[in-house]
Amino acid sequence: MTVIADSKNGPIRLEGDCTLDDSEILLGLFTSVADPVVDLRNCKSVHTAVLQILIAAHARVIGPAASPFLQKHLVPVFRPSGD
Amino acid sequence: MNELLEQFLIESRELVQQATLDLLAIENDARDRAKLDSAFRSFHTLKGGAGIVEFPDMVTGLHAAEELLASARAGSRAMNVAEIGNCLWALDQVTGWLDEMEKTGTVPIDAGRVAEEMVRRFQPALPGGSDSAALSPPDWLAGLLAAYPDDARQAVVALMFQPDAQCFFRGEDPLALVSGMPGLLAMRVDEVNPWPELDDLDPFECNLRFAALSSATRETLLHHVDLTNPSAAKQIEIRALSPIRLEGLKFGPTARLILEAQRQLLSHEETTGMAGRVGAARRVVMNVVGRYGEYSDVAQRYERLLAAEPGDRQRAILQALLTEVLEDGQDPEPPVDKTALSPGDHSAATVRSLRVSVERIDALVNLAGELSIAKNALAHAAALARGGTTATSLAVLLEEQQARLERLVDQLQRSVMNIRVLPIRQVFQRFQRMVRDLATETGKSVALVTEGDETEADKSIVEGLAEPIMHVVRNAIDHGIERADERSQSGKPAQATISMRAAKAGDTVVIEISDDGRGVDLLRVREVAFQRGLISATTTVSEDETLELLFKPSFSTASTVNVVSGRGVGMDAVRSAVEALGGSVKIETESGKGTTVRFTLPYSVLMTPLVTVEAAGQIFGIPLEKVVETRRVSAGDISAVGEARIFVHRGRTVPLIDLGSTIGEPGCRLPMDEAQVVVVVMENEMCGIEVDRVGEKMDILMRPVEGVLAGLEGIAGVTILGDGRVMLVLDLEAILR
Repeated sequence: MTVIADSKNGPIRLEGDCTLDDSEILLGLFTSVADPVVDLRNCKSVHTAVLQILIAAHARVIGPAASPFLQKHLVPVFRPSGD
Repeated sequence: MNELLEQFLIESRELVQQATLDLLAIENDARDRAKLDSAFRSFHTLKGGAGIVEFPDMVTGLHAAEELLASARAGSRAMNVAEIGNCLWALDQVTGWLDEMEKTGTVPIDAGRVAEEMVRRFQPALPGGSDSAALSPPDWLAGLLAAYPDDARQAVVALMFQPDAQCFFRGEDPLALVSGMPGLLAMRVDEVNPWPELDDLDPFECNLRFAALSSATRETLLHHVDLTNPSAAKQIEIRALSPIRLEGLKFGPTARLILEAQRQLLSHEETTGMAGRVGAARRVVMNVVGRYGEYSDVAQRYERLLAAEPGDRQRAILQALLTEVLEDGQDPEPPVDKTALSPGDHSAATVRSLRVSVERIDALVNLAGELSIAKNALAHAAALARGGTTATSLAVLLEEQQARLERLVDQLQRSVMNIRVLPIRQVFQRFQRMVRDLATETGKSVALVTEGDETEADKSIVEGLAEPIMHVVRNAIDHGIERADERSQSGKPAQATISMRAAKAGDTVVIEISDDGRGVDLLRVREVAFQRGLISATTTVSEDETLELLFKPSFSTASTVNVVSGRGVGMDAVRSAVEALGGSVKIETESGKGTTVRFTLPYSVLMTPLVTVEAAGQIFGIPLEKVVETRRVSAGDISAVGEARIFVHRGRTVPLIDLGSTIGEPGCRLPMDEAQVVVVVMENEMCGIEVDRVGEKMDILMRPVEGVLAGLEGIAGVTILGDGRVMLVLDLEAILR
C-alpha cells in the first residue's frame, strides 16, 4: 500500500514507490476532498500518472520528499501545505 | 549503355531541370498553380521512367515526393520553404543517381539508403503524419531558460518531451525517463490540454509534457533514451544550448561540409590530443560562423568565450552546437550537396546532349538529297569522259558541278554551325537555383531576373559562359549586395535584384550581369592597388583604369576578399575564361547603385583542333590536321647527318627536329634512350618533332599573336587554357624552314 489515507480530512500519505495503479486510487480520494494535502516525506518515487493527478488536483504537499529528485524538481511545483 | 537507359538519362535530366525551375517559381509564388502542376508532372514522369528502367529505389523515393506535391495540388495547403527545399534535395539525389548511371551504365544498387531518407523527409508533411508544430510550443525554450536562469548558464542542451497520451498502456513512465536523465539540471512539467474536472479525468491518459535542462550532450541523452525507452525518442526534441546562440543561421553546403568535418574531429574516442583538436575545431567553427553577415562581429567574441571554458565543456558545447546546426531538421537547406556548389559542374551533364529543332534537321536532310544528286552528276561526267567526249566539254561540265558542290558544301557548313547554336537560356536558368542557394547561405534576399533568354550563341560559348557568370554572381552576392537592413537604410528594397541580360549585337552576343548593390569602392580599389604596388602614389588613375585594376591577377588575392567592398575576387579568372571564348569583359559601376559586368562574345566561333605537347618546360599546340602520328623512336634508330638528325619512319627517311632547342634553349634536353616524336606532314613532306611529352587533343579558339610575342618566329597564334596559362600554337611551316 503506497497511498495511505488515515483520516477523511487528514493528509494523504504517499509512501515508497507509487505506481500507475496508485493513480486511480489517488484520484478516487481526491474527488472526495476539497483541498487535498499530500505527504511526500516517505515517498521515494511517483509514476507519471500519479504526478499528473497531483497537478490536476492542485494538491498541497508536505515535504521534504524522501527522494532528492522529487524534492528538487517536483516539490517546488506544488503549493506547500502551509499555504 | 543500352538505348533505353540513354534515353532515360536525357529525359530525366530535362525533367529534373524543369522541376527545379518550377519549384523555385513556387517558392516565389506559392499560388502558382501551373508551376505546381508542372512540378508534379515532372516528378510523376521521373518516377515512371525509373519504373521502366527498373530502378525501384528511385520509384520509392520519388513516390514520397510526388505524394507531397499531390496533396499540395489537391489544394489542402500551400507548400512551405522546407518542403520545397526537400523536393530540391530529392532532385539533387536524382541527379547524383543519373551521374552514376551515366558512368556505370547500370542502375545504382546502393540507392536504398538515400531512397529511405527521401521517404523519411517527405513523411511528416503528409496528412496523418505527426504534427511537430503542435508537439512543442515554439516558445517552450525561451520560457524554460527564463524560469531557470542559473541552470541555463550551465546547461548544454534543453529538451522537450511530450509522451503520447496512450503511453501508460505500454507500461511507460515518462517521469522515470526524465528523472534518470544524465546531467539533469532543471525540469518543468506542464499540462498538454487544460485539465478537466477531476471527475472527468482519465488517470490512464497522459496529459503532461516535460521540459528540461541538462548538462549532458545530446548524444549522451539520446543514448539514455535509447536504453530506457527507445519509442520515446520520437517524442523528444533536443536543442543545443551554449554561450553561443546561432538562432536562425542557415549554413550553405560548403560551410556544412566544413562543420561536418569538425564534428567528426571532435567525435574521436581517442582522448590523446583532444585539447588540440578542440582548439582547432573551435577556431574553424567560429571562422565559418564569422563569414555569415550579422555574425561576423560576434564570432570572435564567441571564440574567446568558448576558449575560456574547460576543455571538456568546450568540446560538449561545440558538439552540441554542431549537432544542432547540422541535424536540427529546422533547416530548409538540404544537407551537403556537392552538385549545388558550382553550376559549372552541371554543365557537362546538362548540355551533353543537344536538342535540335526539326526545321534545322530538315534543312540538313534536303542538303543531303542535293549532295547525292551532285554525286550522280559526277558519275554522269565520268561516263561521258569514258565515252570519249572532248576535254573542253568535260571541263565545262566539271566546272559546273564543282560550283554546285561548292555551294552545297558551303550551305552544309552553315547548317551544321547552326545546329551548334543554343539559346542562352540554357546557361541562365541554371543560376536560378544557385542564386537561391547562395542567398540563403549568406542570409541575403536576392531575386534573379533574366532577359533575352532566347538569344542564341554557339554551343561552346553557351557552355563556356557558366563559369565566368558564376564568379560574377558569387561576387555580387558575397560583396556587392548589402544586407537587408543596410539596404533599407539606403532606401533600397530589402530584396536585391541580379539581372542577367543577353542580346545579339551584330556578330557578337552581349551578356550583362547587373546587381543593385553598393557598387565598387573605387577609392578602396586604388588604395589596395597602391599597397600591392600596382600603381604609384602619384599616379592619377581614371575610373576606367581603376576598374581595370580589378582584373589584375595580383589584385585578386584572398586577402582582398574582405577589404574590397565590392568586387575583385577572381575577376582575372573571369577575364581569362571570357577571353578563352574570344570575348572581352568590362565593368561599370555606380557608387550605391550597383555594378554591371558586361561580356562581349563572338556569335559563332571556329575552333581549331590541336594536340598539346610539352618541350623545354612549356606547353605548345600543334594543329591536329598536320599530325600523322605520335610514336617513340629509340636513340639507336636516330642517326646524325651533319648537324641534322634523321630516323626511318614507315620506310622513309624523315628529319627529326628537337622542339625544345628550336624554340627554347639549345641543348637543354638530357640524352634519353627513347625520343617521343610527333610525326607531322607538310606539303607532302614528313618531319619528326621531338618533344618531352605528348598531351591531349583539344579544340581551341586561336587568337593572333599580339604584344611582346608578335615578332616571335614559329608561332601561329596563342590561346588561353582553362587554367589561365597561355599556350603557343606552333607555325610548323616557319619552324621547318
